[in-house]
Amino acid sequence: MLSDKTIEEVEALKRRYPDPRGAILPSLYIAQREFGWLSPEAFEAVSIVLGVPKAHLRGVASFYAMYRHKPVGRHLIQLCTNVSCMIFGAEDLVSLLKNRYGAEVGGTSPDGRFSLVIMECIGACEAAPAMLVNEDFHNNLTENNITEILEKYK
Amino acid sequence: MITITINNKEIRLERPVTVLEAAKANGIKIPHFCHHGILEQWGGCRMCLVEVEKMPRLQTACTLFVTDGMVVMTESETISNARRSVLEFILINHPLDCPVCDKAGECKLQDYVMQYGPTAGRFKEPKIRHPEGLNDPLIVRNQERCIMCTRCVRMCSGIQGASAIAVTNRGNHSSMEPFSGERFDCEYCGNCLTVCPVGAIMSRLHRYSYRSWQVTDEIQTVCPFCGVGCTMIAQVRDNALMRVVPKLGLGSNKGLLCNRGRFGYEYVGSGERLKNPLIKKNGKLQPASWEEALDTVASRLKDIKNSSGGNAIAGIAGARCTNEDNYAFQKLIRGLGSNNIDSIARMGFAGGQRIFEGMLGPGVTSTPLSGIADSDAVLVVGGDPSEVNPVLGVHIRMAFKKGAKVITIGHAPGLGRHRTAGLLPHPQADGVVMGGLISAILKDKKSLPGGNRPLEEKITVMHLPSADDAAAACKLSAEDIGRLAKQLAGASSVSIVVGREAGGNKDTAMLVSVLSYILNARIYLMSERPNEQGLVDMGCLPDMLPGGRPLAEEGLRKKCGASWGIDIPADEGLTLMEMIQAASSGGIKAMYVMGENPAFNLPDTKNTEEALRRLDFLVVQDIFMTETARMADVVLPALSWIEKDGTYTNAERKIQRLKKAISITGMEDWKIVAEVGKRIGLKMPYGKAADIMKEIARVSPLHAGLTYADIEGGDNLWPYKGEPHKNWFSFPELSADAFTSPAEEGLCLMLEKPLFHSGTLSRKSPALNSISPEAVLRLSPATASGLNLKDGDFAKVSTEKGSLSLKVKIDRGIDGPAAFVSNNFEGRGLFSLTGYRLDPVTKSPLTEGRQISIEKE
Amino acid sequence: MEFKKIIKTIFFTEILKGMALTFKSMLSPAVTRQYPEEKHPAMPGFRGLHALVVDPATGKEKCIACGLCAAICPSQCIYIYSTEGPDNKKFAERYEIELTRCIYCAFCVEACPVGAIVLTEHYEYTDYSREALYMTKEKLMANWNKYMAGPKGEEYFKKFWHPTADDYRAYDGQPMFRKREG
Repeated sequence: MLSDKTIEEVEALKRRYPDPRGAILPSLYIAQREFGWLSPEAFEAVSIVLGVPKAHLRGVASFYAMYRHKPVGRHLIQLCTNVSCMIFGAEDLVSLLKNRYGAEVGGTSPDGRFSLVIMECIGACEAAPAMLVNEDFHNNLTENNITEILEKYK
Repeated sequence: MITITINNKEIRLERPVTVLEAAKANGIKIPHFCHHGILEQWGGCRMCLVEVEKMPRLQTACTLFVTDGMVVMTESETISNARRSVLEFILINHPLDCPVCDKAGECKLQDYVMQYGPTAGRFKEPKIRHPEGLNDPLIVRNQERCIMCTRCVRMCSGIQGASAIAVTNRGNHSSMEPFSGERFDCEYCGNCLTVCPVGAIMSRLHRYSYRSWQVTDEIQTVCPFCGVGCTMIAQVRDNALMRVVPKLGLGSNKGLLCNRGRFGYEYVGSGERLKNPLIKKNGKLQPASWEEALDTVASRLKDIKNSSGGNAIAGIAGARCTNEDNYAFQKLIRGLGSNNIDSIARMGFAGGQRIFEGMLGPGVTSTPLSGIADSDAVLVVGGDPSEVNPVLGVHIRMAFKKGAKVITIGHAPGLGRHRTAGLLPHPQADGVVMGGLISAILKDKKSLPGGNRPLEEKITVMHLPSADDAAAACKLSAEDIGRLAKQLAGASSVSIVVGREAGGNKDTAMLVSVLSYILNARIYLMSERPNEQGLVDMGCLPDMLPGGRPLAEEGLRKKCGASWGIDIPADEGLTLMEMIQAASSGGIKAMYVMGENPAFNLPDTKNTEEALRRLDFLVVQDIFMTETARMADVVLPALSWIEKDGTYTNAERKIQRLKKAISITGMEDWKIVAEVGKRIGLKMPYGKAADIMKEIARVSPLHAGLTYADIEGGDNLWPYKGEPHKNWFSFPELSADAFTSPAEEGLCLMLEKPLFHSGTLSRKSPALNSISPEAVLRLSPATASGLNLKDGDFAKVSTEKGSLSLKVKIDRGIDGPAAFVSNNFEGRGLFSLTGYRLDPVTKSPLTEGRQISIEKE
Repeated sequence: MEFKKIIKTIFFTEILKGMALTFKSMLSPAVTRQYPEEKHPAMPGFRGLHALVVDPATGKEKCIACGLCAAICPSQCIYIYSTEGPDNKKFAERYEIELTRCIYCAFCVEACPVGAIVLTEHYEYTDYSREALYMTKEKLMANWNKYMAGPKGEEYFKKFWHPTADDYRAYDGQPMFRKREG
């Protein structure tokens, strides 16, 4: 179930739209933040607050790419491998993450700590390679400092 | 007046409709997938493209409204080319497995490809694969065949109101899925099956068992599960029932069905069906010949009549049996010199109707179902229509969608998302809320309508509680009651839907009548069994003769008796529960039960069973070995609904034909009764069901002159061609405690009327058992967490009468401190936990002893 | 004319002619077949006793119980009762042909989308009981193994009947919406 604070947040969103269906995307995003992914419980919880059938919620969510339909690790690494980052060795970082943490691209490390996703340009080419860990931005990555950065995320 | 030309044919139209509808009404066929008569327009399949003069491109006929002077062509080379391309696109991912697809033969895609279709597709890319959805016990989804017309989704959200399926992964990989992606978590109404134009969503029951063209017979009949009496078509192959389907626009249900009707029919072919008569010898039921069994029944009944008098014999008629069966049955019981005849209609239906008729006039419950969807306000009291009468529930949901105010009093989880307000007083305090509503409405309306003097006098002395008092008594907000009263008072067309629990209680029933009177509302009486109204009309009541004629009127009684060649006793007989009480005290020595299971379906199971055991002679006539049949001295096997001819009268008081679709060896209920009747010297010369209808038409003034041809011809609405009984207004007194809410607190035991079951027949249906296999204890999340119970835990539910161990199911639809247990599964019925008291007027058993304790096991 | 007739009558020319033919035939090879001892070879495409094709890979019938043979059958002598198999595929629980009513038109063979039924070259199946002439699924499959199994069956399919599904084959052996090659 959603926490009271989250329910309030969703209720506030709902009030902003003439039809509660308008609030589906942000509400699901909030639920995803709380549950980590869009589990059946997450859909159910949002469905109760918004009063929109859960099958409909799932139908909508399945279209968009930024919802997670499978459980993910505690932290989500989104690493850019677009041209600039690739030139500066992003591919090596990918294999490093795989060797060190066991996180495959699109998968989760066996200890459930990191999920790794490859993303396209995040507009940080001047300081490539760059990545997002959850919502924190990190750039000028090297094989040395990336492990240091990731050690902060337990 | 609009004049348009379609295919050079001039068509005049009264009002603007779509081109497709205009063409259809004039016999011009335009191919279409996504359009469906009862669904909202969508215009997504592009199959109905037509050429319209002065319009640059082809237009979709299903969304284009006609305008004066429009010139439309529905077939041309351009159109054919366009349709062929549409079909080629649809077929890109289609597996072309018509040879094994059950839809082949009645598939629109197949027909259109034959008509317009490309002979070859140009796409070489691999097809998108979707594994067949076989995880559901009843519905199989094959998304490779799906053409994304979204008819099923629109049916589920727009008409049924369940919203259980949606299009997921929109784009290349679109598929229609229930929430879980595999198993359906829905009402299993199966209406999505009806509308699917291809083989993408189909019933699993008859999967791969026949092809549509192998059906040898299609017989229009009536559903055997509840009192709505949905019209359905039984498809038969080689004397075996293959499936039942509805037909769009046919009957009160207009082509909708519920899970019981659509998936429950398999009990007909159950291996547990009784085949031979059984006679108890040395304490054991043993097979016997028909002759022996019938002779035994007749001679024992005669003996008991001679030794203890006719009043020692009682009969329980069957709400699953036809009018003909019940007519013959009450004639037999009355022929034995007894008026002790009653039925399960006593549990709320018959009593409620008597009060409504007494206060408002005859035939007040004869209200066409279609009226609900046209109402501005719907008040539901005493039951959940979406579970008891699912198709009636759908009509309420449709009304809500159209903007009607839907107000429920009491638990009605099926209308959870389809109501304006739900009032939840204590289960025995419906009357208080209604009293409050009435006084608030009267305050609003200022004066009474002034048509029914005696009733108005009654209302003025009713001591109605004010809205504030009522709200305080049942812990609701007075504001709510006031607001709802305003909404009801402001509506021009109101429907009141009354359940068994409200109908059985005379106070609630009287208040419903008053509400109906001051709001000028229609009353819909929910009927849990297919022929409860028929029981009432056929005289299966201790104080009524066929046609609703009171036994007390000597002239009518004499006339009726003369036509049967017997003397009908003048004393009123015992009602259902009184019979059981008399059986236990020894007053009743013999009982004949037809198509009913009193040992399980009546409250206080233990005592009822004990009473039935005390009988000297018990005859049970049924199609299954029920709890009651096990105790019987003679068991007579009857035929099921699809194996006999006859009529059912539904809750609208519409009389409908039941037709024999398959023949098996055995005797219909009426035939068995007639055989017994002949052996005790009654005149029952019936060769076929129609002979009984002829006699009914002669004896019952209500059914005077009615024939099967009339019924089939549509002359089937109350009061048919006959005379209803008039001038019998009666106004019972309100009880002193009508407006007090019980003070008791805590968990309250409630009877769950499960959507998937309806008693004796449904539990023999493998399909219904697969979606609802066992008795559960339903609790709200709050109650469950308070008791430290989780889904799937076992809990011991105890009352004064006994205890049951049940699996816990947490149900978010339940509000308040209530525990729901159904009365469907053998040995685990709620009625084994509760007692009852008889309502002094309706004589319905009212559930008592709802206080329970729940312990985790 | 009279004279010629007299000569013919005196010298039995007619008889001599006849005897000459007899003598000639006596020396030429015989054409009458001594049927029960000598069998008649069936031509390719001969429409004899029915058989259900057995897939050599699985040992099961190829029939998918679509019922098209029964639908097309002009004498309506094929009865199919299908059901859902353990692998959730459709299969024929009962496949029965009344031989006494069959007219051997082979429409069933042409209608079959998967080439699962054939008329074999076997034609000797007279019997004294009707039961023996009522073909069940087991009997029909035995017919295939007896008369058509091995290269003979394959050859027969390739040369004579063209089971369309083989040409339209797609993934998983499902028929595919594609133009026939060649």
